[in-house]
Amino acid sequence: MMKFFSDLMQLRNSLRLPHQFDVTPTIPIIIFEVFIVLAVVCLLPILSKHIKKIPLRFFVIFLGVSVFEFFTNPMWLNYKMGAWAYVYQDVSWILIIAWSIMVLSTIVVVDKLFHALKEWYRFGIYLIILTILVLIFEALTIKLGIRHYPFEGKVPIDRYFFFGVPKDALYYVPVCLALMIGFYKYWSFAIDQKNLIPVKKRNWFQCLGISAIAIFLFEIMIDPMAENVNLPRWSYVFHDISFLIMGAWIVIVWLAINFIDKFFIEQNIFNKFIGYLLFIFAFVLPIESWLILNGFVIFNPNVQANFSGFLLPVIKIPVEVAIAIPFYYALIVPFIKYWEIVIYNKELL
Amino acid sequence: MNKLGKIGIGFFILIVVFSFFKGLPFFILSIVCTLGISLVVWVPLAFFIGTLACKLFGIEKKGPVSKEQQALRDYVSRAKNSGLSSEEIKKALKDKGWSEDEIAAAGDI
Repeated sequence: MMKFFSDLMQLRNSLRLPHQFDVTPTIPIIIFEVFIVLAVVCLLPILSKHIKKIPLRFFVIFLGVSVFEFFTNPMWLNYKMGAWAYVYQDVSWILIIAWSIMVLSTIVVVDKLFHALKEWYRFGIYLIILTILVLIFEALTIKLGIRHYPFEGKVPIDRYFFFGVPKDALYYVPVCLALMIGFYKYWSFAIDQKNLIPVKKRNWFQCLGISAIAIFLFEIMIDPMAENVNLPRWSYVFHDISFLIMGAWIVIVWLAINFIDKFFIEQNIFNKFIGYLLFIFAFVLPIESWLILNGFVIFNPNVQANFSGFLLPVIKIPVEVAIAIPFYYALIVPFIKYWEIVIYNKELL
Repeated sequence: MNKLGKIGIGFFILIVVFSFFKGLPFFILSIVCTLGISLVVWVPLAFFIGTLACKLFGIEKKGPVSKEQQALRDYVSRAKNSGLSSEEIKKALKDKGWSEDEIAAAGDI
């Protein structure tokens, strides 16, 4: 027991270690940071003239972006933002609020201008506008010397395209935006107190299809974080993504959504969300730990570098992996549920 | 408010309190690092806090009805308040697979 608490204290202390990279900001970076904070401070009151409960909405999108940033932390590096700008390793609250205000403003403006359009079309418009904005923002952070990538210097130069933004961004930006928009829109049903119609006869195949699309797209995006090895060759569908592992996640999510929606039909969105995550966590954690311990999943060096070294008792996997599981599904599930709700409530939305 | 709801409210209050005193990492780590065993303490505490909060804010306990009936009643009540007609409510529910009897049991539409 004493060893456990000593390990826990060691973990806590490791989170407080000084940054292992250059945090000294340049003048342009400080100006950039001040501009972001001012933009948020100015835009929130303007947005609140067009839609109610803006602080709550901003908080929700802030949560969504934070979950994404924490989960995908090893995929990109943010340097030179000043010690004040970081909340965990190189995750910066300034970049999180910048993303948040971009997503929120775009959604509010598009909803205002295209309120007569169906939810599907508006979703497409959000994605197109935000992809352009985010790519410009990404190029700016690269130009300022903030944003770096773990594969820099290890891949040919033609991997990059305009202003140093990698070609991969054309894929991962829309995917991560789709998840963030889905996250916000799902919770906005609760914020707006939409009277969603309870569904008696659920379309199980439809839910399976949406789950498969969501998980496959996200798996491709986070593919650089880990390698799935030692699995039958025929099971690999893209790079090292095996449908044996991905299929297990799809089935678990699919079962979780159908189980909770069937047996906890009277619960509100928040309670159901907790239910989905608990159900998924209970099944995914032991499977994931078995895959790691038996050498089927190997985390890449830049991911391992972020591990504190603290292992979970009994199942002996890094604590970060256990924390990442609910983070991963906290983004996936709202996206799936958002589309389900849109399909089941065509008349309302 | 049912037990799950009270536990949810309790956890929300706990998270807010821990965040305020900068103890949120401890709270999360205490759950994750014990493989959830510490929930033996946190869940009853959250339930107690949630119950207390429900009493303080006057959230009433609902009568014994099935979960499906409860979901239907909640929907019908909100739909009526938003100005939907009886026919519109019935049609919306039928489209989602509810039978005439189930809709009728949901109360006066």
